[in-house]
Amino acid sequence: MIAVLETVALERRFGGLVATSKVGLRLERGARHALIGPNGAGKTTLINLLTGVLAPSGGRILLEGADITAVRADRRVRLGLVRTFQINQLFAEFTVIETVALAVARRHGRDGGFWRRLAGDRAVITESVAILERFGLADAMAARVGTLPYGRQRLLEIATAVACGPRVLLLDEPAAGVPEAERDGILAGVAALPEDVTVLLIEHDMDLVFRFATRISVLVNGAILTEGTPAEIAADPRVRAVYLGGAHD
Amino acid sequence: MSDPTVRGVDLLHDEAAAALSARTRWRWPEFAFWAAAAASFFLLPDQYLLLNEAAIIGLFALSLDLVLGYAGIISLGHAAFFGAGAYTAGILAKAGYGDPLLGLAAAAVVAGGLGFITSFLVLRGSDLTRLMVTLSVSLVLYELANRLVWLTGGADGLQGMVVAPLLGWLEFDIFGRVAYGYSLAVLFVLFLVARRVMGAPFGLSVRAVKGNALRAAAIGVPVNARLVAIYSFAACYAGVAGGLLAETTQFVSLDVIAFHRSADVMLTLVLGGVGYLYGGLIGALVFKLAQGWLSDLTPEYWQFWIGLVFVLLVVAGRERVFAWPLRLFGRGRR
Repeated sequence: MIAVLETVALERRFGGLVATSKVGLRLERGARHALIGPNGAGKTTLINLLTGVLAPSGGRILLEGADITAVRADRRVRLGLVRTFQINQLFAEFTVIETVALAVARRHGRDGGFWRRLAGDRAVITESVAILERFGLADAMAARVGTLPYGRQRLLEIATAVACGPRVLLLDEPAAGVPEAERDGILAGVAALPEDVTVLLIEHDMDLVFRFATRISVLVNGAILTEGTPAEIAADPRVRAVYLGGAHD
Repeated sequence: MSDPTVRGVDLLHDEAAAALSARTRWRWPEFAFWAAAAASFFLLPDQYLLLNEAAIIGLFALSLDLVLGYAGIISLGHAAFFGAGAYTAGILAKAGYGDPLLGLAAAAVVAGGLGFITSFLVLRGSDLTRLMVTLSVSLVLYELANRLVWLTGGADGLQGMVVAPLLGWLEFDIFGRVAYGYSLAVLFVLFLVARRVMGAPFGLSVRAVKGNALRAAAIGVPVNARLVAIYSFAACYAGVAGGLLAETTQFVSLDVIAFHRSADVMLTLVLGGVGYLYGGLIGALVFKLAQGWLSDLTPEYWQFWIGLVFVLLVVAGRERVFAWPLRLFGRGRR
């Protein structure tokens, strides 16, 4: 199988603290991969390294075989590596449609146009509307993002990433802060992505992880402890020990 | 999640297009504003000099609005570009290239180039470092203009500008009739361009950078390239404003690049409100009228009264006092 996203001995130190320690992660094309680990395991740091928000202290990141370790964050997005944030990062003053349409226009290379307006851009509108419908946000398209309730902002957070046309989508705790009843809706739009899109899910909600993922990596103290199918991970005593604190033995 | 009918999809498309154009739709107060501006040209001949200055300062403040209101870059040295434009037009006119439009084009190019070069200094850092960097750049340019006496006339100012008739046949008159018509026309055209550009995807992406630079990068917007572009674009505008002042007053002194210009334009913009393009224009008009009125009342102490008005405005809350123009010109949509 082809590795779409791969890290080689990826490392990040903050002073004396090793937040990411020799991480070798392999995501195969079309994988539904989850990354779990206790609080402080370095999951978000790893996402920040993968997306270029942080520079690694050592190691390499390969996207479809090409070394992107030194590539700028916005260029990685254009190469198809897209993320969502654990804490919503939205444009509070924008309307919902503006947010998604800007992301779609960006993918078509039309986000820098000086003259032609998005309102007259049929292709961008068609795609934006389709994405909003998929995430159940079409009725709120004219609403200001800052006025949306939290659960819908969470949906927009993911819809915006999907609008970027990801080939690899990194979801950083998409269900964080979302009430139990609304969690299924969060991943419904992601499940509808084409099969060759690779998804890496970082999540605390184990129900969600085991329902979604076909492969799971466990991160502990910045290093990959083990990797396997959900059944293997669920049965692994080491995972139970570190992740569940032995409480379920 | 059933298949929507074709008609339903069309309706959604129309709704999306309408929502996307809500920000760029012309509102009646805008028509009223420009109609009043055009009327002033015919109805207020004895106010030409004051109105000319208001139009120029308005264009200058519009330029700062692009930087501060749209891109969120705070600048306390915007006079650097105004001054660069004024000296460019002035020096050209002195050297025999007195065509006003040529002067403005050159002012835009020189100021824009200066903006491009110095934009890299404001890319990084906090508001405070940006404040210091923009201030420092303008101070350096001030000293350069002061020292290069052979080029700028130094402290005596640039003497001997000969500005040719506008379009080859409209002589600048002592009443400021042609001057005001010229400045107003340039302001109007550049306003239309700014309005169009800020309503286009470029403007949207600049506002995205201001709103959340982290997310803007995460959807693939090249953050630094946008900041460089908007800063240079705004510098062109400031340069044209400076060029207009030089041509319509036929004189350039160190005053065009002095610190108080940068401070005044900031006050002017804040007075009218940031981020909706009209703030600078309204602020400039109010500022100039207040200045004229107060200096008639108390020629020696007018700056004291202007200062007092500003302090009261800040204490009372600018948003409350100037809530009506913001609402009228559609800032509520922002």
